Amino acid sequence: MGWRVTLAVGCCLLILFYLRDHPALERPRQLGTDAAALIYSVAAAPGAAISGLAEFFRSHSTLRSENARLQQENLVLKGQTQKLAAVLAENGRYRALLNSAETIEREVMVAEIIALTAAPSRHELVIDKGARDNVMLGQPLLGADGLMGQVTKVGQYSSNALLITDATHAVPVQVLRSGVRGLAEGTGELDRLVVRHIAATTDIREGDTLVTSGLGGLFPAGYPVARVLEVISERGSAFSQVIAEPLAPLDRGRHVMLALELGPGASDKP
Amino acid sequence: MIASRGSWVIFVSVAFALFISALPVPVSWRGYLPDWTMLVLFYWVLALPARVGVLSACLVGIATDILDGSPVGATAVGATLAVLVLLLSYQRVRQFDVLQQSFVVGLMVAVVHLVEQRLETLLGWQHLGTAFLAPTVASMVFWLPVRNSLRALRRYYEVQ
Repeated sequence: MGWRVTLAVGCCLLILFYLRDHPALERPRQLGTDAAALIYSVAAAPGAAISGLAEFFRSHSTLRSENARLQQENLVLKGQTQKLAAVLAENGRYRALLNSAETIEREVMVAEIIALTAAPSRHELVIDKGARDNVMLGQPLLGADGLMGQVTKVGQYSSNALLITDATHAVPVQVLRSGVRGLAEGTGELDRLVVRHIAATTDIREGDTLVTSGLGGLFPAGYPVARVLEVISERGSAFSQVIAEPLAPLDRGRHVMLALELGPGASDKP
Repeated sequence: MIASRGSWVIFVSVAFALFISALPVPVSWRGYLPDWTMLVLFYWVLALPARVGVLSACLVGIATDILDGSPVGATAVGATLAVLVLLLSYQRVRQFDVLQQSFVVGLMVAVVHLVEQRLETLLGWQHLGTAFLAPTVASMVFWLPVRNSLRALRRYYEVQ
């Protein structure tokens, strides 16, 4: 039995510490990601079928009212897009004045969420787009209202994305109102982010919006991330702690967007 | 030595356990669900220690890692070590009543996740709090039904 244990543990440690990021093993890693995604999609199939059936039997009036609501929403959004075009053009002119070469493209690719992975202490999504659809490592994942996370594993047909609330995740942010910078860390709870080490005298208050600052080079600047819920400053402490709530609904919805605009350092390891 | 048969039952039960853990559940339930794969693995180790041993444990662990998205090998090392302990003490654990057994199984599930957490931390994956130990208690509770259904399966298909 001794040699078996040594063999098993030895192989695992070798894989863990030496072969984990080895470029020669790109293909098996992709296969693993895809195999896991396949199992998750099969496991999710009955639930999806039931909700599909429920969708099929929804009443005419519900659909009509929803349609009316969506049309209205679409109109509002179209109006806002027009304003956005004007703002973008203006911004482009300012950037030209500042001799900044940065172009602004906000194209996205829509992906469907297959599942949340099984490990209870981790917040990782499986989505149905992979290397075949040009998904790249580190690509930002967006929800309707804000940043959701980033792609951490890419298979051929699927990929995994770490949510911003995962305990291992941190995103450089700044307060939209005052420009104060910080680092929003995941807490392991789906509705909480925390910004630590904010000087106690900093201008940040409840209700402020945090957007990506673009520092670190992984996320492009300007995506909304979270809303400040609470600023905890202890008496005598030089720093306060900011509790924030992610703007994107991380536990609801079926679709996410992958930003095609990458930060300058996004091809590095996340 | 009796000729081994019914390998497919072992294989299918482990695959089914992996499948069960991939089922979509509400986020708030996730801390209250057992580690199905490890329960099934531990049952087969206790029932057929000559057939299901550390190498099987390692393979099952790797499958779990791939499914979970953990770094491949972390759970596998944990499972290998936990199964090693079970293999050294299976004769005693078999004599235990179900309550004592479930404590042993819970402890082994905890060992798997502690080793996994330690290795992941070495690789820079931070864990906050003790959320990674959450499946331990649920695994203790679910040991009895899992054991009984697998035993029925084993007797029906005469796996040996």
